Amino acid sequence: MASTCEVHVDTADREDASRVLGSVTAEAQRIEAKFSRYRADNIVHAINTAAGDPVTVDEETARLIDYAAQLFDLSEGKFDITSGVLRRIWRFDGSDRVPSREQIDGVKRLVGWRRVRWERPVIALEPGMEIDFGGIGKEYAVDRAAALSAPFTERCLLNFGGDLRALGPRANGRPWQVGIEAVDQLSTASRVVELYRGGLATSGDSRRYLLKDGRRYGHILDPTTGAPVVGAPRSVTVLAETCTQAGMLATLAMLHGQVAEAFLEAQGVRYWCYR
Amino acid sequence: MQLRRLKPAHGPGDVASALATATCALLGTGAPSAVLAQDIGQWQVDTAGLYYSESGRVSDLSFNVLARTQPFEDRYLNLTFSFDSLSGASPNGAAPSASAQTFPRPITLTRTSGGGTVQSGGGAFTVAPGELPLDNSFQDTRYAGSANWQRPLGRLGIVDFGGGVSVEQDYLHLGLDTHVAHDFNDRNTTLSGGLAWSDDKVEPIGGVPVPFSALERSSGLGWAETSKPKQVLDLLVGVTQVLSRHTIAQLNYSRSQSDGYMTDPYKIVSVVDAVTGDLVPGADPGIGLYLYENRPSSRTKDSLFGMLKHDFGGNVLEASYRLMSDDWGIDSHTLDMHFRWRFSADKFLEPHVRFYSQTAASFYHTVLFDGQPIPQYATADYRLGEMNAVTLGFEFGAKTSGGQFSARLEVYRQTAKPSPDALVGSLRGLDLTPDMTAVIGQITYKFAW
Repeated sequence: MASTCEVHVDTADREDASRVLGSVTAEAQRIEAKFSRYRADNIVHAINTAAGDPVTVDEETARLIDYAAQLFDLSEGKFDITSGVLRRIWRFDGSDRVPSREQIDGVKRLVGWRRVRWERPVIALEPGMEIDFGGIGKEYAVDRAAALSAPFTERCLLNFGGDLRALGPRANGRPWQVGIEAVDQLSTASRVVELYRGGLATSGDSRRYLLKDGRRYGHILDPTTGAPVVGAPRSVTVLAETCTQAGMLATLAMLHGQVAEAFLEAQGVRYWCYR
Repeated sequence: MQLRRLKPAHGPGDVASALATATCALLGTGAPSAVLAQDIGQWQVDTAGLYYSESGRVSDLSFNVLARTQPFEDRYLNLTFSFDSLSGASPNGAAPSASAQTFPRPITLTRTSGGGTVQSGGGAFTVAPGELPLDNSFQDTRYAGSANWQRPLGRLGIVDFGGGVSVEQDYLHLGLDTHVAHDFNDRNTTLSGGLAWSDDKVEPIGGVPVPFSALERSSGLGWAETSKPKQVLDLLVGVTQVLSRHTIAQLNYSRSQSDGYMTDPYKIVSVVDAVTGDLVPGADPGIGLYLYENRPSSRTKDSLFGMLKHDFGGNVLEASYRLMSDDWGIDSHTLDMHFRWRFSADKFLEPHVRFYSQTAASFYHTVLFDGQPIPQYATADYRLGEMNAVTLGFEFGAKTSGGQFSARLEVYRQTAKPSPDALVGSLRGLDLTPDMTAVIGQITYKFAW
């Protein structure tokens, strides 16, 4: 998951705790192995290297692709699992290497969910195109692992690199205390939320940006322009029923740029935006 | 001409609800439970505006703010501020009489910081036969503030420390308090204890009346004392017990010890003829004999409070009973019931009923009798007499996008009884303690900031 994964279980029963820990670890590793774009032995790699040939996918992958297609519609094309190739030219390493218009146009030709042929359970990409579940995978893993823990105990909190889900309060009925960091104070939690139940996810990372001519390019890329979203908050944290919902709302808010807060207000969700 | 099809814009909450449905399908689970969370580090602010009005008597307008924050895990800071403005007519203690009564406003001298004196008071007001004498010059403004800090005490306990100040034209209150609570029995039982101490100063306008001195035009000129102290020490012990998933019970005992000036410096007692019940003439022509009241300088109160709260699937019934007994001879019973009915996800209606009953203080005398020795203590303040009261009302509350709103409307009806010895001669045909009705209206708004 490229981040620290934590499991907090509040129980006096060692058996329960180790069962939860075991199932969460197994599920996180399974999802990472199956959907990571950095591996050459999984379904994502098979789809991306099929060179235009159709690939038949399993039920779980089909559900993720369906979900991505719905997000594409809901975001009016801004959430696009084929946009990962843009990262070949946008490297958010704190430098001033902003790609040229030509470079952007060159890569943009490989982006576009509408050009993907998806007829469940068969997917076919045009040669050179790639799909990437990076925008969904971590939150999905949190919720999946949480579902597997539920039969043992609901007194647990899963935290995969800041994306988290509480199934229920602690054993004493008290909430979990979750800090939301402000971007300019990396170490100290600036807001604390008492979470009894629900998912919390953050989009944005103050460490990943480009800076050129005084202009800051955040790492959220808009596939319709091929460039970072203009005016996006540095980070958006959303509270929702599940970690996946929270994460998707945070990402969609980021894609709304300057009007991120207005978008979140309209959704009636609790959120924290840092600019 | 070509018509362009407009893209349908997403309405409020549309994306979130579509996403919720899609996520359910993705995770292959049923609909997840609703989010339950709260912020800390923010300020939770409760504001309230309250209007209290006794028909034909005083009305009080008050504004209260309570701000609460949790700057660190398990540590809370509470700050309160309130402002009260009281005005109107208040019973001065004198009993109704078969004839008209005139009450002088004593002339008083106040020493200024420059060494001079300022004369105030003077004049008089008249009350019709049979009417309860009310002094309509009653006016006061009160400002109060308090701070309270709560922190954990061990893994299962909490302790808090607080302090408060309130200032009126003629009253200053300083208070300090502390409480501890400790959980036992898997946190199903909480034992708590508290201590509160207050140091007050009464500074009556015009000076401190000499007990049992007569109310006369010039009576205030003889008052040498300008202020009196009062101290109160309160002790509280309590136990809260979780009885089931839906029921909790609480039992508290408290003892309150007050020492100092507890006399009401503006209240008087009529002196009447023991046979005819008619007012005895005083030193000033046309004015009856009224004596300034006098109360003991010590009071010990014991209270027992029991409360039961039950959750009927989101609708909550809270019933409580308080028994209070003091060494002034007052025993009181208070029965209070609230039922919070959540008729929709974000609205509630809460009917409220309260019954109150008290016996009279041993030195409560509606009137004093001419020719009889003056008792050690006497008051004709109806609040220390035998009385019953009923409060009926309801509160409506709703969650709004920014916070929580509620409005409360209550009617209070009080019936008091004169002391039995007062029923002599002409007084027998008079309503010595007329019933009193008050309305209470309150609007509150709670929000996070």
